Amino acid sequence: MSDGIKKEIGKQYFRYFRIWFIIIGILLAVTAVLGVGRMKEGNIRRTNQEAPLERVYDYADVLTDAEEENLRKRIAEAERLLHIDIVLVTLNQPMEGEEAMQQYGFRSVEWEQNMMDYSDDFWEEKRYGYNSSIEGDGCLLLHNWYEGQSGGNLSTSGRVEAWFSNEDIGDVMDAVAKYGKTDPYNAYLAYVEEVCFLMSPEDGSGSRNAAFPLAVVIVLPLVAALGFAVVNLRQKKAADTTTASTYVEGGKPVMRARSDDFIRKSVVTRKIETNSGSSSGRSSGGSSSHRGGGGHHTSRSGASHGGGSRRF
Amino acid sequence: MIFVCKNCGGNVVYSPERRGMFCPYCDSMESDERKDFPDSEISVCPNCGGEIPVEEHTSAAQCPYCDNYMIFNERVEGVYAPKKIIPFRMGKETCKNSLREKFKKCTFAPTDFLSEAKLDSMQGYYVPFWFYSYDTNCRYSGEGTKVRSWTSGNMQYTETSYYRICRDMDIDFQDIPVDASVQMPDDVMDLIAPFQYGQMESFKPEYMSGFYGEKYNMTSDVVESRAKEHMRADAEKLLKESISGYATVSPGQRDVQIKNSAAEYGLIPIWKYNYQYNGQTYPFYVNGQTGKIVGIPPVSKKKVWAYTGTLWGCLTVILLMLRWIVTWIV
Repeated sequence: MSDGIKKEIGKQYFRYFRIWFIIIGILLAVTAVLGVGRMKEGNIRRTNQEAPLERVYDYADVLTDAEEENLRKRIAEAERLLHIDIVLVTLNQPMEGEEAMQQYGFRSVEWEQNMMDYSDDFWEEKRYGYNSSIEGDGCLLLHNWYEGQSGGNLSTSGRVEAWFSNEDIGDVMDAVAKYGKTDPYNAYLAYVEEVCFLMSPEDGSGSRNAAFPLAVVIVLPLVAALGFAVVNLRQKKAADTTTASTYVEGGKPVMRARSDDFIRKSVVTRKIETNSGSSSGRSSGGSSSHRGGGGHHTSRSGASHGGGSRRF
Repeated sequence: MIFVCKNCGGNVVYSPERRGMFCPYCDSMESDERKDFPDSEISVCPNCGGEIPVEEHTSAAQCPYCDNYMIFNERVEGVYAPKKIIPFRMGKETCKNSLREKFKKCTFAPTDFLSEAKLDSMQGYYVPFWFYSYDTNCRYSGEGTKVRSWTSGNMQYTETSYYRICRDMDIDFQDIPVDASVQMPDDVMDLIAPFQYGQMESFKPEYMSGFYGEKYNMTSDVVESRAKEHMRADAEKLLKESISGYATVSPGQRDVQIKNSAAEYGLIPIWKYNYQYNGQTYPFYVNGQTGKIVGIPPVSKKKVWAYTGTLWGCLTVILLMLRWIVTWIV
């Protein structure tokens, strides 16, 4: 192959892909700028200074001092990475019935309602939220150990509220409930770990927070490249550009006789079956298959929260 | 015979661009003078004495030594005299540009496929054709149905009306072309049509000067079956086109009667370009009158892999970076 041909091959190649290379160049530059910016903003500072430093409130006294300290350290580490407040409150008090309602000033006799109100109120009174008080980013787990009324409530706020679906809230409850009443320390560690996993911005094989799954990056280019090859390999010698009248003198035939005579008719009838069954309707409450906004509600003071409860 | 210039003695050829006889040596127009030479020396160039490769059906050729074009009298006269000819309307340069235009978007064609050096080897040919004319009467009878349906209350009604369809038409087919050359592939010659018969002229040997030519290899009766097949298929289509508005049509009797038929021998201009790639020949044919191109370009496997792979790589990189960017921003 002569040098001239080789040069022409190279020129043709770069001319063909020049737009793609330019786009890649621009994206590389944008990625580099964002990457540098992201490295600098790795330590986003906490802007809400109104909340206390304490994160572990063991009112039920189910943890040892050492366990509490370990939990505080783990929570602090998670907060530094995720930039959210993570709070734990244990309790040992009645949360349902008339007596509890009178004694503690609950607005309901329902256990779920009172657990939710307690969590929301605790969060708001302490003014938690990483980036702003009350409606800032974070979550609070309230675990009640009262005999016969034990269970947990997860209250979410800000980014955590936006991100956690009902399914995610269920996952957190599962993680805690797994240890039951036998191992509270590991139950609460599991709570922190599950929140970290669900809120993690990056993982190796596919970020849950990614704009689109990694499978799209693998499959779409493959399909596009195959399609490109198939389209460009498909060739035919030429189209047949003659028609039935190409060689007809005058361009059209001379009609000598033409008839369309009616012979007979037939009619078929059919009864239309009506559907008498009622249409099935599904209640829409309960599971949510869309991301975010799990258990969204407004607290007694008017703040927006997400969350859910479970007895265990 | 050779056409020489009265002014300079050079070989005068027919110029498609100028639509006349042209001397490329002194640029004169219509300065040609016919010089005949004995057909017994058909394979010897009358100008330089060099040996010309002449095949059994060659009627016009070029001397490989002195580049003179000559026409062999015995192969264009008598039983081999064409009745008509469509002179070349597209010159070599125009054909090259047409090929470039058509195939420039062939991503996987080898790089030198459309190079000047390769395209310059293109050659003009006059291909022998038989032109068949038929005066026919076509008759058709069949049954058609029209369907109507409506709903009334909880009942659906479907009404089917049956019709007897009859057609009787005269179709005069004119100049259905069938190539009479064994060398030229039949499917290509069918695809290279149609031709503009308005530009068809009575045969003059001058038109052949500057090109290669062939006399018919097969007589009209040998290839007529192809013309009749074409004719019957067109008649069938025209009959079908005259029937419309029916949900279904069941054909009954169909009959095509040929009342008159005629066959004429003529020459059609074709440019041929042979491209050699990896030991294979890829032929391209260009209609010398209309410019229609028939042929499939070769595929360079290296280009397939390189271009497809690059596209895959570019898309993967772009999607990966977009994924990072959008995730970080959101």
